[in-house]
Amino acid sequence: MDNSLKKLQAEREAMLPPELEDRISKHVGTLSLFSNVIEVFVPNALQVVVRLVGGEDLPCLKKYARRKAHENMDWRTPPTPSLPDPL
Amino acid sequence: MTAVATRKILNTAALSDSQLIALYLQEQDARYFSQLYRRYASKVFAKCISMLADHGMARDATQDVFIKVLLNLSKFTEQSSFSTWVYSITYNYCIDLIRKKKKNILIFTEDMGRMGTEADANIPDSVILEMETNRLEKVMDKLPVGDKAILDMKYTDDLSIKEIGEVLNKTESAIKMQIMRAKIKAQGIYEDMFGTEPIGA
Repeated sequence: MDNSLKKLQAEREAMLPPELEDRISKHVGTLSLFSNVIEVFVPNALQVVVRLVGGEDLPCLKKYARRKAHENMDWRTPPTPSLPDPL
Repeated sequence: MTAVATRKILNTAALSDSQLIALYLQEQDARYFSQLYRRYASKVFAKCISMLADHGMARDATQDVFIKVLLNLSKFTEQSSFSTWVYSITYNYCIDLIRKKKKNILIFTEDMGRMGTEADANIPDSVILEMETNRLEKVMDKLPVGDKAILDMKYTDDLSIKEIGEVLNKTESAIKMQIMRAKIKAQGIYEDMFGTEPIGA
């Protein structure tokens, strides 16, 4: 059988305000968002610092930089055929 | 709700505390933390009400305790059970809150000049455990916050003397002495409020 302190605790447990879960869920959501923002922002910020001090691009971002250069091609210049014309 | 989503929620309820913590840290999915909240919120809230004796303060304290738990989840080392860790955050948070609010407040019952007799050392647990709940609530409200915490840990959470010592950063002998003092104090308060009426309902 439960002792008096446990009975008192059980009575108080029933008084938990239901809105508290929503309030805490909002905090959990904000914290998750914040950690995601940090995850995205910090590598880019590091890249900027590396460039500012004159270092090389971070290896993980080199691939991204090459793709970007390819996308900026001039539309007026016809592409050079990589294979010889079959005709 | 889709069947897949329902299954995922059901699975969340079946997971242990350690699994929920690991999954939350790995995936940052709020559902895992919500499950931990549902398991412990009512107990944390009851402890906050017991120590702070105010519904509004207890609600805010419960929220702060869970945010502390969330922010320190990666530091949980499983040296104790998750429930003990959460309760230790709760007790220490409430004690600190009361210390900040009332600078000169007594946290634990000091030596009352009654210690050392054989009768005091063997004061029975029934002084607390068999008291009628309405009366116990009034007696507990008059006890210093540290004494309430120590009695709660011993008789509600069933923590060992060693675990209580770790939570409050005190030696085992200090905890034993404090439990004895708290019981004597509670008995004294009961006698002041209800005279020589029997402790049981």
